[in-house]
Amino acid sequence: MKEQINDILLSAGKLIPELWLLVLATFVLLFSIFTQDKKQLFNTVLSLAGLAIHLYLLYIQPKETGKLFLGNLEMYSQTVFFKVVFTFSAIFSISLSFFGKRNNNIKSGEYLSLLLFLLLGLHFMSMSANFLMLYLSIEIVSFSSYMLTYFNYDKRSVEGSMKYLLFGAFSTALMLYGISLIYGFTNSLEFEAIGKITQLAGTEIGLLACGLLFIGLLFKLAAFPFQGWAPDAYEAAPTPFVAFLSIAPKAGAIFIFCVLWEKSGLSSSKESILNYLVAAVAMLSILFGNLSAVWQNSSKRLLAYSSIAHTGFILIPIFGISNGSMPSLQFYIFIFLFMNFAAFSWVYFLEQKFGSDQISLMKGSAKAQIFPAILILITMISLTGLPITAGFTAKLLIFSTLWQQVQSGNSLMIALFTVGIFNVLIALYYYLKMPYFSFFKTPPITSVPFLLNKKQQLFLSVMVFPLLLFFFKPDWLLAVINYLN
Amino acid sequence: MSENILTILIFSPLVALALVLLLPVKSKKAFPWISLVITGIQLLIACSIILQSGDTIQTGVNVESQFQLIEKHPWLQLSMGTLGNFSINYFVGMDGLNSSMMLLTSIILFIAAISAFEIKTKTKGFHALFLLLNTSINGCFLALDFFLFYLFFEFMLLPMYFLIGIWGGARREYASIKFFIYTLAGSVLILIVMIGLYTSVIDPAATAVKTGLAQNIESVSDAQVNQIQEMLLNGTLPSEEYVRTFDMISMMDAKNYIPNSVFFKGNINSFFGENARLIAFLLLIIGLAIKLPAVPVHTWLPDAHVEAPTCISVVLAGILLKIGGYGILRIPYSIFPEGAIHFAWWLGLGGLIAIVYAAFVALGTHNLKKMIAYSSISHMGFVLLGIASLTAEGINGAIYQMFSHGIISGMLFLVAGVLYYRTKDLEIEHYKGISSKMPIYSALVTIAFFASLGLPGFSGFIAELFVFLGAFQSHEVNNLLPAWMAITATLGLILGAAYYLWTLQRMFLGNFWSRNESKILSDVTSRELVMLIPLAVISLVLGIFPKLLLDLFEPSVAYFVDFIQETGKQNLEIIFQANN
Repeated sequence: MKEQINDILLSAGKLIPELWLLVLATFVLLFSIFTQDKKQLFNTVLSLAGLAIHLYLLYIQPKETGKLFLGNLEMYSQTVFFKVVFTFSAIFSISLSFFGKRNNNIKSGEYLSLLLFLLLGLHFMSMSANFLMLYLSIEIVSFSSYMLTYFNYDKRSVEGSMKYLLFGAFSTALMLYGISLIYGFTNSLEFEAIGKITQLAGTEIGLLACGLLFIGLLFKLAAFPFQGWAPDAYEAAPTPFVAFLSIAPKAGAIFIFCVLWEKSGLSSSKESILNYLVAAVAMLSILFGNLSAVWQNSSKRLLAYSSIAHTGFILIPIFGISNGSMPSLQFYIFIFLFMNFAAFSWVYFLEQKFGSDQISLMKGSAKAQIFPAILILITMISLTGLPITAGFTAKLLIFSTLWQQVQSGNSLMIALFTVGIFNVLIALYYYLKMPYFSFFKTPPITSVPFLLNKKQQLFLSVMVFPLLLFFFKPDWLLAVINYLN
Repeated sequence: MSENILTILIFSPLVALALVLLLPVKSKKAFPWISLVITGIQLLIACSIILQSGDTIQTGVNVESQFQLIEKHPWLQLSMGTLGNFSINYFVGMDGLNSSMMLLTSIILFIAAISAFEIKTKTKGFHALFLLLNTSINGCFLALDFFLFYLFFEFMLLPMYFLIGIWGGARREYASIKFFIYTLAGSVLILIVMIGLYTSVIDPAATAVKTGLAQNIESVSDAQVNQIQEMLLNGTLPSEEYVRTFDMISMMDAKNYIPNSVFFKGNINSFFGENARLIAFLLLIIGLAIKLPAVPVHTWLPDAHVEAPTCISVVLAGILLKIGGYGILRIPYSIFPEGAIHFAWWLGLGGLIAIVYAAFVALGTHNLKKMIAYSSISHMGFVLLGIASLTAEGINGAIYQMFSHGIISGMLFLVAGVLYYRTKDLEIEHYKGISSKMPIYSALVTIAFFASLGLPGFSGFIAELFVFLGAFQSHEVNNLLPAWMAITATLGLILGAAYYLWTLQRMFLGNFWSRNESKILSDVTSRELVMLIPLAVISLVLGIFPKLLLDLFEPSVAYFVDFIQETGKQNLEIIFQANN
């Protein structure tokens, strides 16, 4: 008993960043209630400052791996990296809201505190070592997401968030079923149980349990065929939150996916059916995302489909997870964070200007203002995965991890490799749409030109700069990743 | 001569680019001059490099010490845990294979810069992109590191896309995206092989440093390199110590391949029933053939050419296509020589089809620029045929053809541009008897046409002669190409004469008539003469004194052919033994 109490007390000391986040989120909520949400600017600045302190706390936290709270949580070696990614996306997302109109929903205390609670959920997700913990943290993330999706308070956002909620409830139910199967057969809720299930329950049940469990994660990742909610939710939600949604929960889900994958021992048996299924999911996500994006006229939907395609790419390193593909995944996620935010912030600026996100509104914007057009061109080239941007390096690393599987002659892996690499061609076509309208088309004489102010240009530049920097110096980013691991 | 001369040659346009970006949009007059001056400087540098090296151009190909003006600096050293370490070098150098291409690039870019004075809209953007293009083309020809080559190869597409898409003709948007997607498809194929190669090949010198055998790269001796290679083969070198590399020279040495990696030559693993090395050869060839372009992946070229502004057409036909031909020699042939022998027949056939098919299509086109575009495809077919023959004559002819075609196609697109500038109409049927209105112009067109159809006295004749010699000899020397291929290819010459002479007759001879009578057909201006005359002179001089150019690459090619034949045959034997 005493040992257990000691363990809990010791563990609590290692959760200082999370505790701080909890305090921050609660304070932001209470503050907005007591000021009747009239000090929105203060609240936003406060959240940003709090997150900066949170980053600092993460930085000074001693790097120890190991289990906490009687095995409910675990500090994995990559946990800190992913927490940093979550926090960065929250910071960027909140900063973006500065560019919105005054008295915007997305500056309200409600919105901010929900976002911070979501962030907290992600932190616990990246530390969970127990299915119950995982389930709880996923639900924190999900419920905050459902509500945040609704924050435009219009008809479209009701539809979007409702769809998200229904899909989400369904998928977590499936996941819960998978977890209960594992618990039933192994009598344990710890992640290690997943490695024993096939022994204890037979291959079929084991695969079923793992498969159901992974469906929950694939849903969070918006991988095909669990992507149905994504375009509608993205279209409905406030754009700064969409940018957050398209990166942070995905990063969390893929990380836990990797942890479970490694623990399940599935990666060692190359011929396992789950290997095939996940490879197929990755391949179809890439194909479906890219092919659907080609037809979009709304820039937000285009990016929604593009992020489905990117889900396919971030699933690829899973197959090499026991061969050290983790840094490649981390590299990809980090670059994805910046390119996605660059793209979504451009869309947000467009929305603020015209009240719509139609790509055709960008007509001739390069003529009016060349610099932002160049920035968005770099972003799109990076999303496609062409030099001289870090998007290329990220894809190169991802495909290098897959090459080992290709080398073994596994035909599905060869197919995944080929599909992935040739999708650059489809991707190029639709990613060039925005630069195409911006550079090639002349603006209609009647309309106002799409101009960005200095602050907006600065924000875009900050997002785009790493895309160039880490092409020429990927070793720097890898050094940071190694340092955080 | 400065040690960094190649770097200066490659990156000087970027300095000019900075200048272009700093100047305000209003200073329209300055931009073309900046491009002109910088390409002029590059031309001087290239000429001085060629003149100073004179007869001493070294053989290069697969021996690092046989390259000239080498610059090799570590750029990236990545450590990816159990995936191992890999190194990317900034590695440029010159040998017989690329020296002539470097010279050609400088000449054509200089001429294109003169032609770019015609661009009147958005000049700042145009010249910024033109300078970017300049850097990537030069980089592509001089890079000896696969990553660097790939980087320049792919980066070239972006400026080109905008140059065609913004300043092009009526269907420019369609043409530019088609160009982009086609060539990108090619470079994706190259990327696949690149990933496979760098995971298979180590840099023995860098590995020696990593294992602690040597202090630094400079102090690595040959003995140490041999020691590392032996350790690699025996499996005594732990995999954490591997320094994987993108260095093309290392890739050409079979001893640097990690045993049982995909491209290890004794590897019996096969993909779809073929040896991985042969598949890699094919992927690279297809990737580069799109750029060349070879039939049936040529369809982007006529569109791109017809829509591109004149000076971009000149660059496209004059240099970009040559990257395909040069790339084939430098990468698939040198790294996977067995493919060169195994697939020689098919490559020869590809060349032959391009020659004959494109010539037939050229005969049937109604647009002058489109006809020239198809004649380009036909002429690049000779390059492929020459390379496929794998004889010294054939490959000499192929390189000669690349140079000669660069000059002549530049001239052809310029003369088309002269007419287009005046009337915006290049339909062949819309003109008759132009010679009475524009006598000097017509004389120049005649020279260009005759040079292109291979009249003796012009460089095209020498090039095609060599290619035919090579292709005819092939069945005796190395038994790769049957004689009928060479014989059938002569059809290309006859058809070439037909479409050029017929066009000449239709457009330039007879009484003057033009569909757009309102447009005034004035004769060539002095600026246009400045562009056309030097190209005509070069073609003529090279037609009379072929030795001037041949000296640049003959020793390299002789060495190259021996190297490919020898290693190719050895590797093929190993592959077939492994398969049985």
